[in-house]
Order: sequence, then C-alpha cells, then structure tokens
Amino acid sequence: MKHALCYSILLLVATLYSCRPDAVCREALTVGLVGELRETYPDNNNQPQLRTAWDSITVQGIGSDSLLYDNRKNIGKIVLPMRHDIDSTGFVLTYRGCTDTLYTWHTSERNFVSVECGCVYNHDVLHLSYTRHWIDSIAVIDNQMTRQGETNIYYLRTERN
Amino acid sequence: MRKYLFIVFLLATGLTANAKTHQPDSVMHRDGLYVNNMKIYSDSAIFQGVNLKLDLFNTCYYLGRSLGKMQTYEIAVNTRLKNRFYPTLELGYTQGELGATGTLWNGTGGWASVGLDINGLRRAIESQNALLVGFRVGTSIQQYDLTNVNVEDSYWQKEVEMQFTNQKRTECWGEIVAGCQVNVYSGLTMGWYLRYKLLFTRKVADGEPLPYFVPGYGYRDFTQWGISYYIGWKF
Repeated sequence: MKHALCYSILLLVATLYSCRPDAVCREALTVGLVGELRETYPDNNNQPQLRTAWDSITVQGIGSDSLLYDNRKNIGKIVLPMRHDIDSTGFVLTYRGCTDTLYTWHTSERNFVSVECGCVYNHDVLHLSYTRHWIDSIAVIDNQMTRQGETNIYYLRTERN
Repeated sequence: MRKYLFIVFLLATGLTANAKTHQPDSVMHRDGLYVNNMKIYSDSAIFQGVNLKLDLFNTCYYLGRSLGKMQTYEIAVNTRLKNRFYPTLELGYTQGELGATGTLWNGTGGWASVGLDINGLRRAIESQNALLVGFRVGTSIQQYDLTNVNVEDSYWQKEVEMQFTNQKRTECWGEIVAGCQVNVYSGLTMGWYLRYKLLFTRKVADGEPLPYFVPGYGYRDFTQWGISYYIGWKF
C-alpha cells in the first residue's frame, strides 16, 4: 500500500513537469501594401521587354527615422506597412536617383491572430496619391491588405529611348 | 526494461497493493455477498455499483504550473454495468489566469463530458479492478478576458496593447481514453486515464479573439493529450 502510494506520487510529479511547448508565434504577421514593378524597356533591337524586379531601391516611411528598404538589390516586391493610428501613410521611394512620394489613404481593422501572435491590422486602400518623377502610374490590383501578402499595386513605368 | 515498467505500472495503479493487502473476507448478508465490506454484485446483475471520483492530477498540475493562479476541479462518476461497461459522466470547473508571450488569459468556465468505457480484464465477480478503454464527448462554456494582447507594428513602433473583455465561448471535443480503476482498500479506488483529445469546434470567424485555454480540454490546440489521476469511492 505504502509502495503503491509512493510510486503513484512519483508518477504524478514526473508528469507534472511535462509542460506545453513554448508558446511561439509561427504565423506571418506582416500586413502592408504589396507592390510589384512593371517596367517596360526597349532591348537592343528596340523590342519591348518587361522588368519586374527593382535593381536597387530605398524606401522610407514619412514620419519614421528608419529606412524600410536600404538600397535593396533585385527585389521583386516591396511591402509598405500602414500606420493604424491615422488614416493615411506616406512613403518616399528612391529608385535610380529619382525620388517619388506615395501617400495611401486607408482603413484600419483590428484582427486577432492568436494569443501567441497577438493582433494585426488589416487595411483597405481607399485612395492613392503619388508624384510622377520616375513612376508613370500606379495600378491598383487588390485594395485589401492582408497577411496573405497578395499583390495590391503595380508600379508602372515605360522607359523610352 | 519491460519488466520494470510493468512493475512500476502495477505499483502506480495500486494493483499489487490490492493483491497483497486484501485477503478475501467473504460475509453473506441478507441483501447479498460482501467481500472486504464491499458488496459483490451477481455477474448477471446489470447494475453493479457506482464509483464517485475526484481528479487530483489536473488540480495539482494547474496549481503548480500557474503558481497558484489557476484552479481546476473535476469530479467523475461511473457505474459498472454487467461487469463490463462503465458509462461515465465527468463535471469540472476552472478559474484563473494563464499567460503566453505577454498575453494574459483570465477566465472562468465549466465543462461536462459523457462517455463509455469497456473493461478489458477477464470477468471476475469478486474483482473491482478494471482496465478501461473508452471515449468521451465533452463540452465547455467559458467567459474570459484576453489582456495585454500584442499588436504587430515593427516598423512604425506605435505600441498598442489590446484588451478583449467579457468574451464568451463554447467548445466541443471528443476523447479517446485508456486507463484503469483499481480497488485499493474497502471502497477506496484509485485510477488514471490517458486521454487523446480532438477539438471539434475548429472553425472560427476571422479575427475572433479565441481563448488560450479551454476548461476540460486544455490549451486550445486542435489535438491535445491529457492525464487524469483519480481517487474515488465505490458505493
């Protein structure tokens, strides 16, 4: 009887220490305005070619001290995170020595992911405003910014000889 | 190694204690046969007694894990039918708080589960021991708060912490259980269950603040393991 109780307590204590694996967030949490480059340029035979990656780009949020992309090379998509405390967010994009400013007016909707990951804000693009120093135009493909990271806009430019 | 494991198993469940300490002491009363002051039901009888049990494992586990901030209590009752089947009802209550990466779950809830166990041991009219395999279907309802919920904003660094208060949620799950129930002394029983749980209520609305913990189920993963260790009394 005594032994049975001792071993029972031992079993109880041993299993007591088996805890849940560390609660770590393993979800993608980045939500932002996903943009791809669509630049047409003439090749040596004067035939139009499509360029979809930035050679090198620098992006900074207006109101932030830090660079979002610092001279990043060969990048296919850029993701611009929106502010959730105000309804418009601005960015300065520098590409090939030209600087363009992009402002996005957007909604912000709180979205609970999990206890481990917390919340993210999803946004809908309401309106875009931008300078046209290097960018010819911006085409909105999908106005919903979500964690899935689907492309929202194309930065369009046609390079001429 | 197997031999030692088997010995540990026997000792842990009290099977050997039962075998050593209980020399059959049969007395025939007016209402039937009694062995060691416990009524022995006829093998052909449908109803063969009720066992009321208290789960010690989860009470101790959550008290220890949360340093006293989490209390969970469970009672279970089963009846033995035809020396083979054990319909079981389990009822429990949880209250307290648990934390995960800063977020705090603070909730109160109750749960109930019903199921059936089958005794795998050879039928023996005088034996109260059982090696059980069965299933459960459980449901719980809880009211909870999630506080200090982190908001991802690594670039703009606008630190915000969300609170979701007075949330209510009902969950359902199924369990496959295996364990034993042994008679230790007179009507005193001990036993344990190993449980494999599957959450049925997996679909949720997008963005719904789900609880971290489900009373009676455990951490809200789609599958979950559980252990119960019971002390009971057989009537």
